[in-house]
Amino acid sequence: MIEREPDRTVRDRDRGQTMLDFAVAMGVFLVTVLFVLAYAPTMFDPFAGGSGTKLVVADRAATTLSADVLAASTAEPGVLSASCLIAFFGGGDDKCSTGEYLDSNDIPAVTNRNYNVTIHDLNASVDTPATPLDEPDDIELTKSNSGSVPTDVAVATRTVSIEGDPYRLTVRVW
Amino acid sequence: MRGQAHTVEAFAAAVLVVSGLVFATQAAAVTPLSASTSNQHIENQQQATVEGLLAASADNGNLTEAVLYWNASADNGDGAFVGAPDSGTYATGPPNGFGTDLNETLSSRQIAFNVVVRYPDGDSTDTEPMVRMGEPSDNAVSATRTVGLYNNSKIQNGTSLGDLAADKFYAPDTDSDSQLYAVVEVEVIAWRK
Repeated sequence: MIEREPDRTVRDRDRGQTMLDFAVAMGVFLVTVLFVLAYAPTMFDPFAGGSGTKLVVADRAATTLSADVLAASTAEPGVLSASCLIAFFGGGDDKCSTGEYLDSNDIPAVTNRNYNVTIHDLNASVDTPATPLDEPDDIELTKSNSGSVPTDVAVATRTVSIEGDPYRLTVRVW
Repeated sequence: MRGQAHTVEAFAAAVLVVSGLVFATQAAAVTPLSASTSNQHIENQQQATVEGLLAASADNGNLTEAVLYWNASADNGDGAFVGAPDSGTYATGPPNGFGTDLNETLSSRQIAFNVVVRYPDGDSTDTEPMVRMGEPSDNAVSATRTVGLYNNSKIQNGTSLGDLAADKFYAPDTDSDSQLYAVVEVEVIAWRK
């Protein structure tokens, strides 16, 4: 007759793969918790971009420039006046048709920030300013108050009309 | 007997944790999982860009040209926009100045658009689709601009609206006694592809 095995061994066999079971369980649970902890912060990423007020500043500056400061008439927002463009981008002491000098580096809505205002062709990059004016024809329509390299930029764009042709006005604020 | 009790328990806990996260995601109005590639700032920029484009097109006359870019004898005499495919609606910017500007402003930046012309028809208004790229997304923006048409406004082949037979142009003459033919509204609906 085969002798009965000791109790301890019998109990171990009853417990099956408890150790393995526990290891798998902890693995599954920890992986899930780590995934949730890693994923939750990314839910808020889309709202963190362009932090602070820069987006609003860029948008407001673009609106003011295209609809008021450079516009031939506030009744026709987006239709820009050549004389105002020369006064604004030319850097000389020309006057805008509204009678204002726009050569200052301060533009509306932007204070204590760096900006770059560029008017470029619809399908051209912002790095290649347009030169749509007939006289003088060498004015590049770009203006900035800073030589620093833009980092973490907020961008606002408008479509504007200069002498009948559409262009893109891009305001970058950083 | 105890088998894989711990594993089953761990899966139950994992399901609970993940469903908590899913519930939180569904409860929030806008999350990365929403059907959107857009955000409010980008929508504002698109809207302003489209409004500017309509202003520029109205300023140089392209908008009026596009509204009158009509071939009265196309589509078995019903009329259709010039050069439009059989559906009567362009799938991209029309082959005129307005279409070129639309393509350069919107298509080149991966923005899709529909253009419809809304015109008065009796006591109500009706629409004539000009460009249809598809169903706008939930984050589409729109901008409108009105255009006045006169009896002596000419469609693409040079015929005056006043000389056209009654149902040859999509919009009817609102007042046959006056020089004004109709005031139509051009609406551009744009969304990110």
